[in-house]
Amino acid sequence: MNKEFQELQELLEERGQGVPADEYFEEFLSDFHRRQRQDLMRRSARSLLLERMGVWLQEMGGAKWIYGAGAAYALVIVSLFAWPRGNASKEGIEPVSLEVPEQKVLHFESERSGKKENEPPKATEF
Amino acid sequence: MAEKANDPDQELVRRAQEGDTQAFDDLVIKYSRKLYGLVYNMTSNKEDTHDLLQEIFAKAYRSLRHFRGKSTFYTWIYSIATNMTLNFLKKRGRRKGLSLDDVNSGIQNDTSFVDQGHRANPRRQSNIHELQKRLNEALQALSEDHRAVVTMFDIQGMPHAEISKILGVSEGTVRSRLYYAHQQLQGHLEDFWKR
Repeated sequence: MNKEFQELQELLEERGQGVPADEYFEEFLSDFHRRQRQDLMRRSARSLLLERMGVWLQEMGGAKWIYGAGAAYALVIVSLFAWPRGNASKEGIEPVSLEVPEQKVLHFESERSGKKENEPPKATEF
Repeated sequence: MAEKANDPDQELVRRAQEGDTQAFDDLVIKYSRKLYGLVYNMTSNKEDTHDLLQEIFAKAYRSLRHFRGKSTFYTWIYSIATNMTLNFLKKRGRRKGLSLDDVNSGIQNDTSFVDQGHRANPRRQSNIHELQKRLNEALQALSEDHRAVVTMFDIQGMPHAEISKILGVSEGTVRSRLYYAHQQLQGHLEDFWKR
């Protein structure tokens, strides 16, 4: 072990010896109680439930993947059964009309106004 | 489980799990100093340390009823503290990089963190201040993972096996991270030593 490495270790050890004064930790505990009370009042039941679920999943370790896969499979099965099937033609789609639409008749102005034959006729839609 | 029987906090933990808030307060009092050292040496910011430590104990309190004693309470709460601090540092790094506002001027300027033994010798004290300042800069230059192992091993005196349990990595990984971190730190302090 060289001299520099020894000095480095001593310097690092020195950092571990210093901590704030006792008053800081007394105040720290009071602050902890204060925050706990505020936290309880602020947090909704929903967020508490979500956090507890998160903690529960963390605690489960490897089993959470099995439970997760099972839950996803169950969700897919339920979705398949719940999905509406076979009644689309009854309700969703209107029957197609087989009637022929009324034809539009075109009359040429030249025929009515007596214009010359070589003039291009103007079509008027009625 | 052998480790469960050896946990010195077993009784306090059991009482806290049954709703005895005084028992949890005793655990806070017992571990707040050690955890303060861990978090402060990793963040180098007093306000962040205070807030993080509050969040760590709050999380431990909420999760306590799920603590099964597979590890000691000490290892368990250290894991919470280390993970939360590493997550915080990663978020802080992503947010704006490391700015002067994030990092206090350094433990070397904090009278509570200066070793009392050097106060009698001003010259030695001055050297220590300069070295600690450099060391602080060097520690900030390390990655969060490397800083974590240096803090736990060199500053807090924890054994490799305990660190590996807390971080969830092998002892070999802890040793290699330490080796790399020491090389980096020595490199940063080299020019000061050569003066």
